[in-house]
Amino acid sequence: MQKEERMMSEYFLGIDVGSVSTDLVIMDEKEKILSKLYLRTRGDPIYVLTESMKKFQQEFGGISIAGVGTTGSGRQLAGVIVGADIVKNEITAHAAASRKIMPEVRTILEIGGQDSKIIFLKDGVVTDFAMNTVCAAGTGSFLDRQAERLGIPIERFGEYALRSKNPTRIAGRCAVFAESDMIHKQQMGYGEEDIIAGLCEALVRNYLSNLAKCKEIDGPIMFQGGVAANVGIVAAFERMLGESVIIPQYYDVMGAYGAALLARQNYQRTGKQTSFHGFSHAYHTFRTRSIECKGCENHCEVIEVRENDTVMARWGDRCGKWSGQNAASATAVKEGTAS
Amino acid sequence: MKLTFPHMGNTYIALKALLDTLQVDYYVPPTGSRESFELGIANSPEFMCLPFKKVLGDLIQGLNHGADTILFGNSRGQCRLSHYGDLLQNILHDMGYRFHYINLNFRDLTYGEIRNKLEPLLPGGISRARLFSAVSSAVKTIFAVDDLYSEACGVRCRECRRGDADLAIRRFEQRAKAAKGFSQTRRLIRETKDRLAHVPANGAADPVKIGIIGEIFLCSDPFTNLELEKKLGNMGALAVNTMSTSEWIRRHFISAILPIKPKDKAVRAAQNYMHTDYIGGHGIYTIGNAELMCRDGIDGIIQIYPFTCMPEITAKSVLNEVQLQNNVPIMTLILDEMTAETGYITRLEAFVDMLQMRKDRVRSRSG
Repeated sequence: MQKEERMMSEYFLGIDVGSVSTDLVIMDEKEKILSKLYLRTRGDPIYVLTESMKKFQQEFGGISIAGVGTTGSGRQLAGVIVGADIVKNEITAHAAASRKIMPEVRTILEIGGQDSKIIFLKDGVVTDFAMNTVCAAGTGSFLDRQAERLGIPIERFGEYALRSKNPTRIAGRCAVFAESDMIHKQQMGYGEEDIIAGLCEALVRNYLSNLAKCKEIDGPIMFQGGVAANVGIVAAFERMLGESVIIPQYYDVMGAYGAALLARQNYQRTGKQTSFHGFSHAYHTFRTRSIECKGCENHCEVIEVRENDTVMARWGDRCGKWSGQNAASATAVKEGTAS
Repeated sequence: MKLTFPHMGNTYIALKALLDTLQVDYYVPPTGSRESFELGIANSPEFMCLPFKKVLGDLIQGLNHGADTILFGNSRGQCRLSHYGDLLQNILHDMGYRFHYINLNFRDLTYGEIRNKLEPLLPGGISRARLFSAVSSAVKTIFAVDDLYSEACGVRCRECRRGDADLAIRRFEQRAKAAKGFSQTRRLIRETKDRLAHVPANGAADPVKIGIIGEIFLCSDPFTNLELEKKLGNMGALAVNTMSTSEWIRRHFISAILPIKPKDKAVRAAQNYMHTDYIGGHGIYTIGNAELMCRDGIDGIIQIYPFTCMPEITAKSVLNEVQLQNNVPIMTLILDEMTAETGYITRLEAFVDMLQMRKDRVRSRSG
């Protein structure tokens, strides 16, 4: 694309700060993805976020951003740091992205680092959803850990599974038991491929019985999130559902794409000027700290975000004593949650 | 003698006024206290439910602050085969506390039961008439407080400035702690209602309506349910709580003293799915209330219960069917002391978003 052309049009930024990965997307007015970033959060969302903003600054410094949306478990923090116009939960964001790519989609399978979700849609509207509750057995982190333990790069985990002729049955109900079961199977002499394939099946079985119990899974089915790159899991899903599963081109940044789409929708609806601070803002120093409020018996842990030396936002209190002071940034958060 | 009692939502307001009237010395454990909660967790068996841990924590706080008598209510045949009351007593004994234990039987909570259990606390004795009037006032106050909170729900989701309703309720809670007796408490309720009525509201707001069903302690206790009503309201949704303390009083006290016992509407409604009138706890009401709300028109329902709560697990399996039959989404939230609030908020937000989208679609079709 020509530089001048870029200068002329408006762009939207979508950010998904998840537990395992932080994804960013720049989208143009026609809702096409111009650029995407998929990075590991590694427990430091602020660092990853500011670094990726700097990267965007070098590449797209001059473009005009008309709206910013954030999602993921770190959406509130990201929203304050970059100046988001809309802060949305992951379910709504993922549904928005899938609907854009395939308006007739009926089921979205999403497996992320810390949680997995299933979303049901009808005519583009979410009709039901479920998220995993108290267990991490059906999530990406668990696969990551097992890949590491077996010394196989996670990117190649799926190939191994596909090579298996006879998947071993692994107890997938609980991550801890699954791991000990895998060790046991290794000691018994089962092949690596069979164990990995068994693990993929166990994960899918667990996912379906946890999230999709008593629910009708209709096609088209879309599968997204980092784990969708794992061909072993995809094969296990297809086998168990008896239907083909569609992996969208941008499967790994669908949350961020959804956030960008929602930011654009919000911009079109309200016509408000963006609260985006600009890419260069990332060169400021951001710090967070937690304070225990002694105002009442609840002793809330209040999180404070500081930019250079000014307090940007505080949250985590129940009574609103601290979060009530977040004037500008709070509006975005509230609009995001209260639409 | 000094009495203490555990918290369950806002019951302490009425109970406090009752004890003031009966001139019983008492200690109210701090409300919403993380410290008491942690004391409860540390001294409970791990797989006990959240309400049990919360109750134990409150009692420990009470005993640590000079109380020598505990007032507790236990429902025979309900939670964990009805041994919660005894178990609390045993744990506290093993911890070295010595106290007088009054365990009201909620399965048959009549004036007689109350008089028998409370009389020893009243050194000067008390006439039947006075006790009758004091207990009746307490019951009325419980209803009035619940009414106030549900009014706050109605205001919160429509208010023009976020936080107005919360502020009114916060003021109320602060002042309720200092209020003495029924008349002061009632005046405070009236003032707060008045204040709520004057909160500027968006007249055009048409909030999604969400019913709350599930285990009664969690439904009615904002500390343990992570302020479910408040969170929903601040997301712009109208929360309708079917499991308030007043419901419980209605079921266990008022129906116990009535000469004729009418069949509960919720129990009857549940018969479409479960051919029994009792599955432990309030499980049958969870199913019945879900069905009743679906019939009356509701956008969505949230079932909330503590991890390991057997009656609610039974009810949950039936709710799938209720959802299918009525085409109303039902989301289940299971809480324990390790619940991460972020995930909880995400689910609530997504649920409200979904209901809003469904509602908008219906509206655009019919309009």
